[in-house]
Amino acid sequence: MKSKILLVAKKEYLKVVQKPSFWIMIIIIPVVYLILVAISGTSASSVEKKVAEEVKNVHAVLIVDQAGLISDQLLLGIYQRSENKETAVAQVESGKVDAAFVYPTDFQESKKIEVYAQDTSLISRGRFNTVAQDLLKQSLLQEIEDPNKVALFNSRLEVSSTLYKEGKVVDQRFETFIIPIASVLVYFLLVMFSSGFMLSSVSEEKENRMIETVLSVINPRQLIWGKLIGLTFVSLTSLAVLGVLLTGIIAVSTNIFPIKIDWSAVDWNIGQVLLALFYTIGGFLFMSSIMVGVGAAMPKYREAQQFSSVFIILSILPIYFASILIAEPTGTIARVISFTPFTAPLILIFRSSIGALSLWESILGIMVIITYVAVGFYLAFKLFEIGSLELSKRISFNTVFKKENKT
Amino acid sequence: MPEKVIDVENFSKSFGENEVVSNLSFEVNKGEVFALLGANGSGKTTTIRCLLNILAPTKGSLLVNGERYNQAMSQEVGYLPEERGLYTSERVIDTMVYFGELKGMDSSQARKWSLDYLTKVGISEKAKEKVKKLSSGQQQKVQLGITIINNPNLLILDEPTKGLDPVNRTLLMDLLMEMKNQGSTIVFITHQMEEVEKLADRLLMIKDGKEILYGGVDEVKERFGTNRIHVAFTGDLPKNERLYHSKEIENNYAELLPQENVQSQEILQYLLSQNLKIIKYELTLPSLNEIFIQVSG
Repeated sequence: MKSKILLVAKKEYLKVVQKPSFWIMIIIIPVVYLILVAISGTSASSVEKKVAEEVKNVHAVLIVDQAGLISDQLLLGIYQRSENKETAVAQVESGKVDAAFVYPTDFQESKKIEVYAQDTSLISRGRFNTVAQDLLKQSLLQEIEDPNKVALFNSRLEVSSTLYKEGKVVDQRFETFIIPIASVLVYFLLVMFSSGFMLSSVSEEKENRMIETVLSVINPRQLIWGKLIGLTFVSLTSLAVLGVLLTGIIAVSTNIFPIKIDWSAVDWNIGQVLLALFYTIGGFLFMSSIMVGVGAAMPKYREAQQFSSVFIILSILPIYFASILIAEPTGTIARVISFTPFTAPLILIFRSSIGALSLWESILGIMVIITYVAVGFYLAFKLFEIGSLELSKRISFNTVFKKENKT
Repeated sequence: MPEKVIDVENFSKSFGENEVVSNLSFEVNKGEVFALLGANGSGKTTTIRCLLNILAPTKGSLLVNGERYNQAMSQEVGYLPEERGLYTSERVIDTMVYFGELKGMDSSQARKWSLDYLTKVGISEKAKEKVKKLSSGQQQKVQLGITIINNPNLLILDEPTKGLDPVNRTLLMDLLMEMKNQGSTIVFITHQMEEVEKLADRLLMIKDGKEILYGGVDEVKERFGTNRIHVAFTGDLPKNERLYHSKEIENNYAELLPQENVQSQEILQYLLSQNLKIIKYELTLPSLNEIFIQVSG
């Protein structure tokens, strides 16, 4: 006889992967990503083209040099001097000239150039600002006699920096971030996928009035573990397919991603990978337990979905603190939210993968995650026992702790 | 001595401070049809849920085949709950095979059984349809199929005919009779007293979680029917408040309710002494419906 847990797992797995909507969702995610990248790239390049075109169409710019800084040698072609600011501005207003740059008498103190121009479009409102600044810089450079120095000033400068941490040179190549980013991404997707599947699975049986029939042939723990195993494989299938699709897209779309990856720079620290794996599984189990509890406590799937979104937001909240966490991965905020429920797994994964987690913090993290998973499942099973047969009203949290004399 | 399939002793169940079943004891013997009766909220469903270990009892012992029920025994037991549904997005055959496998059948065995059953109840063409495309009557047939898959020795049915039309009700009754004849023990909760009269051997009626009637169906009826007499006659029925209250049901046909400690023999002698021409004189048993209203009202 087959194990009941495996029967439930198989059913839950097939139920999801046999739905066309599952595959559509998986394919849509990278396609939408690709479309967004393409749109963003295309729109950026069309903005650049538009600005370049507008600059090309400039016929006359008046220079009001009250500070006496602009060199005559640069005022060729479209540039003409004007002695009077009001006249120059009036000409811009009437559309006779495209723009007027005013370098006021007190420029040495104010360091402020005034630009008056025609408004041609939202994206090109600042098109003359750099021109006015460059005109001044080039004029000042005219006064430097050494052409090598001028060439040096105009050349593109590169900086080579070497950083040290605890006496060792820090590897600054972007490939070192592949493991941290991948770990966080895997956790993020796993939580998003699995929590949704688990919630709908528990809620569906309750809403469809199937739960009592099911509980007469399988005990609640077997049922939940079966669901958990089945839906874990669903999530892993999603991740695998998504990974293959994204890799394919990245490999093929070399125009959109002109990146060469030096895999030797990727830090394959087996200890950190195992730790990240542990935190990921722990976080996944914790979120699953929350979804079981919410699904059992709420009479309708829609209500459960609304309520569960609070917990999903809490679990991915650290993403919104990303800049603080990256700037100070060992700071107070990072340390505190490393051990608070919901945020702990993601922060521990991130800090561990960038080497910002000390040994004692790693151990404490393991203990904290085990505790949260144990408490999560204790409450989930309790809520399931109380709530799974309560089909019309929601179960309050206090009900779980109400004293009931049981044998 | 009959073999006990269900043995409940001193069972109580409380939800918080609220005791919904109090000190209940009953037995169900092998091969009998047992009716569990009571008004809504009297504790019937809670009793069954505790018996099947879906809820934990507060006190007492509830045994199935001599031991506390666990889900590994589901091969032997078929349960149709009051709140029942199906996986609406799944195919009928897949749902049935899934439950067959959970009850210990292998996949091909469960598939064959399910197809035979669907043919028997006249919906074989729906086997590959999604459940949501079935009418509610057809869905009930599938639910019953899930309950009796693997031919359980003990069937527990909570309001099995709820929502069924007369044709499907008859079909269900025939199926239950067939299972009874095959030796299955059947426990059912119902508000349809005619079903109890037709099917049940024994009954338990509870009110507010406490036993108020327990025993064989005829035994219970006799307990309530010894003092009722139906008389067919010609002429005028004499009145005698010392001996009985009379109620004319129709012309020349009356029901007599004897006063306390008055025997039917005494009344017959009185009526004969009054030269009443008696065509029919019989002690009648009340219907279970009347008993139900009387004791639970």
